[in-house]
Amino acid sequence: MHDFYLPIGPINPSLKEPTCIKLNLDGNIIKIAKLQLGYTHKGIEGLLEGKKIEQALYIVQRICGICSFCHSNGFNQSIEKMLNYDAPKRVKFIRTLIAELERIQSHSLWMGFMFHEFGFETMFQSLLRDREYILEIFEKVTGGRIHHAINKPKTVRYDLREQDIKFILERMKILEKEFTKYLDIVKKDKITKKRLENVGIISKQMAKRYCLVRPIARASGLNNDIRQKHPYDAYPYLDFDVMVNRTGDAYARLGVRLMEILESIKIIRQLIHNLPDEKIPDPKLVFIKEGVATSQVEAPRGENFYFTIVKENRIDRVKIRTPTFAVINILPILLENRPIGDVPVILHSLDPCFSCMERIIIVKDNKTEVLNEDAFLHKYCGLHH
Amino acid sequence: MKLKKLNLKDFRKEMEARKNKRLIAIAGVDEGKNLSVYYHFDDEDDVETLKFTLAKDNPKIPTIVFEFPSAELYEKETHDFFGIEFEGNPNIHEKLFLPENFKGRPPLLKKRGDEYA
Repeated sequence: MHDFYLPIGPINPSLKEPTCIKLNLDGNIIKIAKLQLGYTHKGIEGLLEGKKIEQALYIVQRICGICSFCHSNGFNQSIEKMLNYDAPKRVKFIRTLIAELERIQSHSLWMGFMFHEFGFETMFQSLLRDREYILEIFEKVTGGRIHHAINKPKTVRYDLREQDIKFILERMKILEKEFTKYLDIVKKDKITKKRLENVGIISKQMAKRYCLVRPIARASGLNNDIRQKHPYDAYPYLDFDVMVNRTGDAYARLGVRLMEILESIKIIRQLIHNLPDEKIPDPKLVFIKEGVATSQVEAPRGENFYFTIVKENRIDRVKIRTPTFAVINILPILLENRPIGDVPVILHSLDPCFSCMERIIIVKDNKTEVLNEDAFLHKYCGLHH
Repeated sequence: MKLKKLNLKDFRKEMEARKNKRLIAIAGVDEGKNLSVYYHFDDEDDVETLKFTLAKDNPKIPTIVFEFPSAELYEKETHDFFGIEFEGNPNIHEKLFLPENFKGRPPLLKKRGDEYA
């Protein structure tokens, strides 16, 4: 075996975000796969230190452009735990509604790109159109299509109006029809089956041993959905199923996500029909002398974990474990002994979000001056330009 | 959160007892005088957190990658940003997020003015 490593990335048409996979090949077959990370680090954990709670809430939403609400919800939950505060029921319902809408749009985007990876362009176009329906709801309800910024400690910024509720229900009707159709296509289409079945298999034992989270674990028969295991927000009041598949291949992961969308539509209808009629509290500043708390929320990609320490009303440390960080370890194992053509499908079936995962290096000095990349390399790595 | 402050000499015994639980995350924290490592496990009703305190100069703690393969990345990350040595992890010195030729002090240690002077 030679020691040449073929790099895929950091910039490659099949990657939506920059990362690098180095492959050692024997002909067409991958023998060793290595991951090289760190291309999208933003320094968020370092940036959060010393910030006030409201400022930190603003920053954590910028971690990800797809699941921005789940980050703010996770952080907010840990703050509310420190305050021993139980939010009013209507606030909880609105938070859950936004989270479920976000799940639908994230899964549609993921599925669109999954179909794009093996050349099913019609589905790609249809799914991105369907995602637009959700983005329009966000725009109407929160004013922001991507960063909704609706969470505040103890409350939410916007209430749901009558016209919003009507609009959401209309959109859910369209989406349910579309996604039922797609489920039928996925079940019957021969090319989809041939391309995805028996690719990137993760067994239940492996999922358990590698502590996997999110739809990936559920596609392998391991149910660890936080919404059911440790219910938060409005989930204790809802009746819903968690989708579990057993085969553990890329096809199972597609099926789980598609079924989850239909389940989310069911949840959204329940939330709207049972929405409590009460006043939402006005946002106020919160003060915490000292506190430590953890929180878990089920983001579209899986469990988001927050570990927050606050001292003198300022953030002392926030540890954020995003779902991609918990599963990316398994990627090199899945790639071994597979043909090189399977790389995009296997990588994409894990739905990685590198932007979420890499956000750690601190790039400021004691004068709190943010350094650009060149200055950073010059200062910390001794490189001169 | 169920926080347990534990002694480093019970490390193996405590980890062995949690072998079948799901490891959620490992978090390093700079507490000024010393460093702490928090291990978060998923428990029946809540998150179980184990806290181990280490000395700030030459911090060392045994690895758990053989019990929990998912700890590999968490340990590397904590090593990169806090300089904590995870004894027994064969790949601990490969950089995860930092550039390979990074020479500075671990970036998430709390700053003291004189070190930048």
